[in-house]
Amino acid sequence: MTILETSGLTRRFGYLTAVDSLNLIVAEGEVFGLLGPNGAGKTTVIKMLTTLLPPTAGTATVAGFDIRRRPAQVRASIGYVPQLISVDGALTGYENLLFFAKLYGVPGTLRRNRIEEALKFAGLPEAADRQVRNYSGGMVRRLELAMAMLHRPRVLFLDEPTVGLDPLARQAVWQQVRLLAREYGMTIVLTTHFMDEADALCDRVAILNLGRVAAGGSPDELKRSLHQADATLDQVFAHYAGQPLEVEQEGNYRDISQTRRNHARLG
Amino acid sequence: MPGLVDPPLSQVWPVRWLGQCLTLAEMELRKLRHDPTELLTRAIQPALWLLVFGEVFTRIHAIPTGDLRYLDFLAPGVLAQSVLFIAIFYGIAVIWERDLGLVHKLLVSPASRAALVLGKALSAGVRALPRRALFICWPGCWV
Repeated sequence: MTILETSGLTRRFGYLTAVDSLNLIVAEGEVFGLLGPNGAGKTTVIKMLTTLLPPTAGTATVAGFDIRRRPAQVRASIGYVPQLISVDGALTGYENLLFFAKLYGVPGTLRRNRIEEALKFAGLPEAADRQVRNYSGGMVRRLELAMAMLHRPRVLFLDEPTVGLDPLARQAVWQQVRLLAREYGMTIVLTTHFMDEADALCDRVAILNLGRVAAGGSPDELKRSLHQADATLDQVFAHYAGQPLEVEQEGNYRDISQTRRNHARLG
Repeated sequence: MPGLVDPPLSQVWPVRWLGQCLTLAEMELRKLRHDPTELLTRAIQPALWLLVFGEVFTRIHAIPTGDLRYLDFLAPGVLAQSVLFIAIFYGIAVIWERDLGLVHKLLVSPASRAALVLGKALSAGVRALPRRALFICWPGCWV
């Protein structure tokens, strides 16, 4: 069953076309990866699908609701973990969870159980009463993922979930993402520019380049399509994007400064 | 199956709306509980105005204020200044949060836009409470 569909989704910023008539279909229960270098339009796609940014042309349906005409219903059925830090450092882990449980209208009777479950899921029961500003980068990310599952969204959007994490913390986040898909039946749409991440997590991927889909399919299909023994997704990317990863499109100054600041905070 | 989606929000919208505003304010109160020193530091500036300028000028009668004591003349001004500073400070705080991802996440939540704005304003109001208390309790103002 299709849970997310975009038709001719386009976004222009002045003369720059960040996303160029994008057509995607994501089936329910899938882990779908949007791949591409910085500036390929991944984050813009996510922002449009989460109703943060109105499309210039085209539209999309998420969980059966049109993002242009019924944004409130879309917001009620999705979860979102932005690239930048989205927890409040001055609050404890427990309070952050409580805050979002209340904001999402999780009924009072369910709230306590849900929060306990989320803390266990994030592996943070002992750290629940510590202020988040004293957490490590990996703990912050795990908490953010746990916050996104409190209200049982049908579709979960993760924008570069492992950016700035050390290998061990990355593994923990991957484990969580797999759990969300398998145990909770969530559809997950994630962006990344790490090919190993896409390989490890995604059922299907779309490689974006300059706002267009350069290639799509399961990681294995894409690797096979190169007709080359033991091709990696990196090579697939280089093949379809017409260039090796991260050469020219480095994103703008604002992106870079935000990413670096994020790295500094998480590190 | 644990993956089931919650039933649609059951409360009527004004209740839900108010709840969202209060949730934002509640979190502000919790932050204040974690770091109560802020109660003191935020009260220093108006206290200095009232103490240094207010009390001194009241005693030396340097500025003619008619029948009004200088402290009474000054108090509304300091109050207005306080309101302005707090408004600016918390306005900027929202912009900082925007540079983080917190505001994005709030905007993607089903909370209404108006509730978010009002909730933030309410939070700033909560933070300004100690200053207000200071003004009301300032002993010199009661004579």
